[in-house]
Amino acid sequence: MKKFRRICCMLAVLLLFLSGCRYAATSVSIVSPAEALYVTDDADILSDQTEKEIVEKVKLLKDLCGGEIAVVTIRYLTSGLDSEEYAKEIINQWGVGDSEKNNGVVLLLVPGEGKGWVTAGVGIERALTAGKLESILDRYLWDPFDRGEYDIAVLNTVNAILEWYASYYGFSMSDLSTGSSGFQGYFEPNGNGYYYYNENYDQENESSVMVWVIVIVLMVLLLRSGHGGAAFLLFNSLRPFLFPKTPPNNHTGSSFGSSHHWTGGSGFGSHSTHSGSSFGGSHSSGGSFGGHSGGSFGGGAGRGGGAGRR
Amino acid sequence: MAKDKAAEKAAQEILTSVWKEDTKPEKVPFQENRALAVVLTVIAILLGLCIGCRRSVAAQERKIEQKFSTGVQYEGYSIHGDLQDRMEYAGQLAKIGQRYDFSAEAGAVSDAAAELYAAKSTHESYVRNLALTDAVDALNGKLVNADLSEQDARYRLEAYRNFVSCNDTISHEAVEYNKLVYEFNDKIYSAFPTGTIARMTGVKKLEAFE
Repeated sequence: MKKFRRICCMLAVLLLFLSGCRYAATSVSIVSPAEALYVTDDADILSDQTEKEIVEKVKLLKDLCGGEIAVVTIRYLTSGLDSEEYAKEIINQWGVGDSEKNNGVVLLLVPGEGKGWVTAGVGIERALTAGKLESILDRYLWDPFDRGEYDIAVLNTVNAILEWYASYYGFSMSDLSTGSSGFQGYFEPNGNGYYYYNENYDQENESSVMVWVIVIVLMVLLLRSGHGGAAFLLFNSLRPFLFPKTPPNNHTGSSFGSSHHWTGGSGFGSHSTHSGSSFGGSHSSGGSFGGHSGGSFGGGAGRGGGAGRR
Repeated sequence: MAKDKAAEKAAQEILTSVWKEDTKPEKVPFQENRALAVVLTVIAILLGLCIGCRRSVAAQERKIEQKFSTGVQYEGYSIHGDLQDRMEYAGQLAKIGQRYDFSAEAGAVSDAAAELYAAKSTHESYVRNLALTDAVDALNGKLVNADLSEQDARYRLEAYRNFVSCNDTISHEAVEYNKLVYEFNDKIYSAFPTGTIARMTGVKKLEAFE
């Protein structure tokens, strides 16, 4: 019986390992996120001051609404991808943006090829449309980028995107510099274009932490009493709740959780109402992921599209 | 005496008929006919297999077809939804075109959008989407060189960019959708005996978005 339990535990570990390996093996190879997380200057074109400023602002953005902007510079495109596909891989593999709201933005610059791309997460792509992104790039990025003034190009573009976040989520740009809006809570848009604070935000995060605590305690008790197989089954059955997102490239036909309704963004883009979604299922990716705060991206995803030069 | 003989004869006839009844082979009741039961069971199993097969293949087919409208990777973000968005952006460009005397090109865009809207199958949607792209590119080419107002120039750029971006997301989504279609067609629809039964009972092959 003891031998059987040991075999169950080993099988459980092996299966979990293999499921992670399978996902890693099918991901396209792209640059890994830097320690600063929000700025990965692989092409080494940005100054430390620019990087620091962007990282600070995006951290505040994340605290205010869960949104994240990842600025990535690479000298040349790799893996046979164009800039649009590369940006899509970044947003999905790194999980840029909140895992439920999918409100991340990736700004990719490829100075060696004179290309660049900006793409938005699936939760905001119909508000921050490709047309708006193209306008931002035309106005703030391309001229200084082509002149080699990368710091100016990136800072202005990031500020323009932050302004969009501010108007969409209802906070002001000064909140990003002071780090305080005076409110306890978290900004979210609602379907009517008014902004409210999700006072239950902390409670919602607390409940997910509680689930983890309960699961860990139960698993420890089961393992100690020799029921490794039961521990594995418990973990497997609760995986959709513990890791609430499926890897976009490897799951088809998945079922999803509740939906949120957004109105289209202001301006000339789409004006119809679309359903966004929160996601169930498990989530595993390369790089550092998971959790809302701390040194990791929020687990968001994107469908590609956007604007730039391929 | 005659009476006795008649009675005896009657008794004998009764006995004979009873004997005949006794010696006749017993009729097996319908419910206890083993051979019949075996035949009925086999028929029931075969029918059950056929019906069950057909239902599950048809259900799988419907599920995949629905992904075209509901989305493969993200619920609510589908090829169908993106095609509708494309029609909307094409319409916006057509309106701009009408204002600047590009009626022919604008009309071609409107017609192409209407044809895409009326598409009845996945493959037809694909073909008409290509036609819409050509019509919009032709119109956009004229508008880029035209003397547009600042606002219209901005609108044109946004609408065209959104139009093109939708095609990017369609192409990514189509990869996933087509994978499901190929899997269904190759592994289920073409397999024996499920595929054979499905074909005999009217289940159709799925069309890829290509």
